[in-house]
Amino acid sequence: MPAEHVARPAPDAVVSPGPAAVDAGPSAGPREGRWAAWDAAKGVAGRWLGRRGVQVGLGILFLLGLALAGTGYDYEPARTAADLPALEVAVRRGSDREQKRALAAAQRLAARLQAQVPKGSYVVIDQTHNRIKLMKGETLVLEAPCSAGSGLVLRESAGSRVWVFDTPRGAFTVLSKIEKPVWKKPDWAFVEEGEPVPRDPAQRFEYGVLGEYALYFGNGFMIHGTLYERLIGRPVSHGCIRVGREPLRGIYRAVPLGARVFIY
Amino acid sequence: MRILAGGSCLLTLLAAAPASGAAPSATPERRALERELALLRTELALGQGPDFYLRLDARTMRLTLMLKGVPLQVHAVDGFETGRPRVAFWRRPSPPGWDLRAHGGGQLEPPRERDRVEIVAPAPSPNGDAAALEPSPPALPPTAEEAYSVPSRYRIVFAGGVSVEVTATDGGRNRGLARRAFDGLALRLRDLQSALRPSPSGLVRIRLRMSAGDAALLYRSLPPAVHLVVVGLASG
Repeated sequence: MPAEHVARPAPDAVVSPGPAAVDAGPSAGPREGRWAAWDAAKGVAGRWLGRRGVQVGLGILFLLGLALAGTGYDYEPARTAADLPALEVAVRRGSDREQKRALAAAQRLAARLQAQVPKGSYVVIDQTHNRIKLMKGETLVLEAPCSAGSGLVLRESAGSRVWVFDTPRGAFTVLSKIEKPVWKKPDWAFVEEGEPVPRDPAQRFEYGVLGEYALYFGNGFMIHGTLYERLIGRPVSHGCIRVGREPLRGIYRAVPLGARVFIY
Repeated sequence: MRILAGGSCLLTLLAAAPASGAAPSATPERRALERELALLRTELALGQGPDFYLRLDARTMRLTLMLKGVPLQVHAVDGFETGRPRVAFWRRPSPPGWDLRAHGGGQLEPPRERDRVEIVAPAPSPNGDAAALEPSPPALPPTAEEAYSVPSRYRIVFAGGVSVEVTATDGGRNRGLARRAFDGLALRLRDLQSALRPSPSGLVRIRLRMSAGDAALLYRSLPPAVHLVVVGLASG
């Protein structure tokens, strides 16, 4: 019968308890099925999370927050000590021999520290900001833009060789000074240009691309000139330091063989 | 008996007085000299080594990047504070003599990230004619200013439990608001972590204020694994 079929719900259909069941007040008697389970759960939760439980929980949270707020660093202004000349005045006034001996030792060490700075000309290169400085002792003689390594990675297409064009950091020594340097092209220069690497070493020489002067400081790295002066100030080299014509001339003349080159 | 006991006490005190007065390490000048000697030895050892180091001078308020005893880059410091961790309002003590030693392995936090461009070389043409390959011109590598954004607050964390926090006085608006907020939150979390850690990591914090220009210069060019020596601080 079609009418009876419509009125009967499917066996697995969810049956709403209806407003009367939902709004059952305190006067309502014990409920059955899942509502009874809900009441039981509420009872357990009520025991654990009663008003006192909530208060304790909030208290713990507050204390934890307070402890976290009180965790970190305490700062105070740095207190400075007297320097060596001031100590010298104080020690000379007294008659303590041990102190005078300690003062003399400190002065000797300070002199040794001072002697670490080269007296003659040396070069300081900031490879990050592409600046080169010519120094004499603690005096700045010349400062100019330069080009340090690009940091590019070159990978050979049909091989496993990889080159990273970084300028090395550290202290180096000028090993040779060359006028009108000739570039002996390394393998990467051919690979980069998509040319086969020549077997004849004579095919590696290229004239005029390194500018007027070069100062060689080891491992294939040089301070030299460039054809591309408009790019100076940008990190475009393959690891060498490229300098403009005029500053390079000044550096070449001032820096002797054996002078220090500091790159950071 | 009382007179005898009092007399013996007086004699003991009289005998002890010259001995304590003669102890040279007790005088402030002697202590200052000993500290100065220890620091000079530390500096000399650093200057003879192969590594870069930062020399932080509390007297002249200068932070200098050095190598082999040669100053390479000098930064003016506007504010210099020392800090130590506090756990739930309890201040942890600084390790004794931390300011007489060199601290190594300095790393930037947040780290300076460098995106390297990788180029795969064109295959060599059989007749060696490179022009036939028509390679596209490579992009110009960015300058340091273009490549690295600088957080307004960053740290150099050293292996021995000392860290230097650098704050740009004028805010250093190198990064967007969201990135700055993220940086700040990350540093706060690192603070909590290092303050709570039982190991000596993060036991001394030096906070420096610098101009934004100096702070950026230092962040961009700091060599890896740099050392630190702090000079000119009063003891205690």
